[in-house]
Amino acid sequence: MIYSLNKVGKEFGEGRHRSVAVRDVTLHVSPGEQITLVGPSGSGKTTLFRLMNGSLLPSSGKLLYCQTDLAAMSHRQLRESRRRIGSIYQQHYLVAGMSVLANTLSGALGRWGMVSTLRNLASPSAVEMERAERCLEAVGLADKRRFRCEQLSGGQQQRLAIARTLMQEPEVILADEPVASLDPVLSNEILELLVRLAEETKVTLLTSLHQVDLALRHSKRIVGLRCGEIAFDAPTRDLDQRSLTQLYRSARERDAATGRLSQESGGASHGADSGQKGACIR
Amino acid sequence: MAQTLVKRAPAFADTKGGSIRAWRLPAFLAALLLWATWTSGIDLRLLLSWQTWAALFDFLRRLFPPDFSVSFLGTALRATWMTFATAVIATTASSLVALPLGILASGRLWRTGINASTNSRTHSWMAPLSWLVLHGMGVVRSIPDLVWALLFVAGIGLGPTAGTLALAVSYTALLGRVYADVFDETDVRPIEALEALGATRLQVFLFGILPQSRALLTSYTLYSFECSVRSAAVLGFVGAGGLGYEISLSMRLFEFPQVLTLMACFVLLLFLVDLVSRGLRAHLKENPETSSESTRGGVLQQHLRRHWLIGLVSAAILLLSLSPAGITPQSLLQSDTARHLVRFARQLLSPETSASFLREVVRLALQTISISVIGTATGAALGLLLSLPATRLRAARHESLDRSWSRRVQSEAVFWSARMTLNLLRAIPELVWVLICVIAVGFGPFAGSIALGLHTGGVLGKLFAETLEESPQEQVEAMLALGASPLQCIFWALLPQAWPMMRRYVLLRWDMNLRAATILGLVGGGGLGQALYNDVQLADYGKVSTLIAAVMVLVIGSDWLSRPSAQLEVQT
Repeated sequence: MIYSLNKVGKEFGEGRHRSVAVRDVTLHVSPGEQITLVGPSGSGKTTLFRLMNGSLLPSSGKLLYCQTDLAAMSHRQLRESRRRIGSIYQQHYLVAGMSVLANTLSGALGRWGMVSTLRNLASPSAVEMERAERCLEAVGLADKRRFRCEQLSGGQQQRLAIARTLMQEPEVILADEPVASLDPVLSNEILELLVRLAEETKVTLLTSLHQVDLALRHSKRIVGLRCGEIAFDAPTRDLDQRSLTQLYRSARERDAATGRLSQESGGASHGADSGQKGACIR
Repeated sequence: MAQTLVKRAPAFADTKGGSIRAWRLPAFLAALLLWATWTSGIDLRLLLSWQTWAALFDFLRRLFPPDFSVSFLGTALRATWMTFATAVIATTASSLVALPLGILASGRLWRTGINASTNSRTHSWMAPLSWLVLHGMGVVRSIPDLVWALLFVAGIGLGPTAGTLALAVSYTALLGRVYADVFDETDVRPIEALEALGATRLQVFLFGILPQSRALLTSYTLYSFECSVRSAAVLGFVGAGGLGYEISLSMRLFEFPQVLTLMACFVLLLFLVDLVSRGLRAHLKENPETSSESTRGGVLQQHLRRHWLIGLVSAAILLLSLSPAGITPQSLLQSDTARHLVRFARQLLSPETSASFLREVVRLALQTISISVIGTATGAALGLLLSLPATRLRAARHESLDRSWSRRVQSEAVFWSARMTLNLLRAIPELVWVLICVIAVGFGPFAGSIALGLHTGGVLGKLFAETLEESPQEQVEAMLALGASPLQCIFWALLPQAWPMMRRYVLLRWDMNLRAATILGLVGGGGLGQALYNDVQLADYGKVSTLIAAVMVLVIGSDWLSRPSAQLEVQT
């Protein structure tokens, strides 16, 4: 098992502002799997990913990555684990003001000690340069390596984010709505690229998506999230368009029934940043 | 139709309830002004008396013609170079020291973590040190650079070394804070991504924070260099060499034409520095860090390759600046310099706290506050008066084409002379105004108040004129069309709209003037500064340290006043 989540919960805020983003999620991921998470906005996909990459700690339950608890690790162990987990975000989380090549190189930071960090900053070693250029080639950005990352288009920036993750040489890639800000054609391309690269490098791939059709086309197992809970977890062949669309509709109906239609959780969301946007209030 | 009506009712509008609110701030300020004059023993009648202004005018007349003799020009140019060199060395040293301090003081790196929601693990064992650095810099900043210069002159003697060290100390604290703020205001998302892929703090800084903040760092450092040139000239007034020293010397010798030459050099220097730093900024902007045609290599190599010429010239200037700025092997390695400083610092650490002296300090602090209030009020009035003729009504321009030729020349002459007066008032620093006013009305708080008022008048007048010109002008066109004169337009259409902004400028300026008022006395403008200067001359360091503490209290207090929330309180 790459991941075993056992009744994992995460809540933000305290007292009146308390809101639950993820509750009692139990999920097992074996190596090499390709899983897609679907669910309406605020269903806890982003929070779940941030728990899985160690940016957040669970408030309850146990989250094991490769049989070890991320919460119980020392700083050094955590860093070593995070190096092996690649994260791709909805907005590309690239460093403005640095070149495409430098952004790609920064994927290797987890492998470098202090000395090689400084040396690579002044003048990257030939090995790392070659590796970075291979990664850029894999995503089709080799000719853009001298551009500043903000000169790239949206789709190119997402490719660059993928290149940085490849540079990281991770065991698992967590892609949180990687195509949310792209048009349908580009979305398809990027997902194909992700899936192909994951298969080539035998990396476990977890993607979260809004688009039901894309989820059906690009994954082998689909996990549906609703209000922080797992609604279903099934192989793609057992699911169809209707059952997925139902997830969105039923979530909406339930919210409407309790008067919380896609409601942002108000004041609480300021304190806890984007980790719990639109989380369901209980 | 709707947009041609004046949107905001004038401050004197008789809307119900609104009238009291609108009068609250002016009433408060008027009361403050009355209190200020009453406590400070400043005779405001002097301000309006004919003799005062006649004396000032007489002094200005005696400045002409400037002394352009070859021998004096040599002196003036040497002093100018010394001032410039002091600023170069001080800024270089302070930015080098401020960078690590800024990194240490960055809350995001050491104390709060990058993200409010990433709980735990953000706290570092370095957190207390980081907190200490941040607040230590705050304490250093609360002592004005001129006071630092006074202390260094007392500690290691007259000359540029003291000035350079003083500037370096105060600008290190300033830049360190600015750098820390720049680091903390970068985009957090890429940083979160780097942390998620296992980057250490150092790596997060080098690969995430630094690339994002490079442009701002350069720009703030250049800006601080411009400011430090200004400061370096002024530091000479307390004996730290350079233009200020020459100016105060010529003043004391009543060689007024020389004063004018030196001030011309000062203005020229500021102009050149402004030109060069603007050019540098443009150059850096045109050359973004990477472009498609650039070559291989790391960030550092690329930088060297692209900016080698600037680097070479800067290095040459830096080397040439060392000796005029008083930084020579002898001056630094002199065994007694360090010993002097240590002994001096030890003396400073035992403040005088007798009740009678503390009462005196409180009196002086109140006097300092009243100097700032009177100076700001005078400046606001003067600025308003001068800003009216210095405002060009865009809407009136096409109308003026119809006017007769002589009328147009006349109005242009009024406009330009108002603008020139404003620029002159603004270009001459407060402290030079103090020197001038001291000659006109003698030592004391009155000279300080007028000097502050004149400089503030220049600054506020320019801001007022800009604000008036920038406020919407459709209303002016409507009023001109119904037969109003330009002056009527300003009062009935522009002033009501620009009023909130102008009020904000006055309050901001008051905050700056409160800081300025603490040092005006160092050249004879009354208040805490004057006592400070006298006690340093008398080597009564116990009193000096008490006075410095009082200055710090005032400066920190004015910081508190200028917090955004506090300003809202004053404004509503």
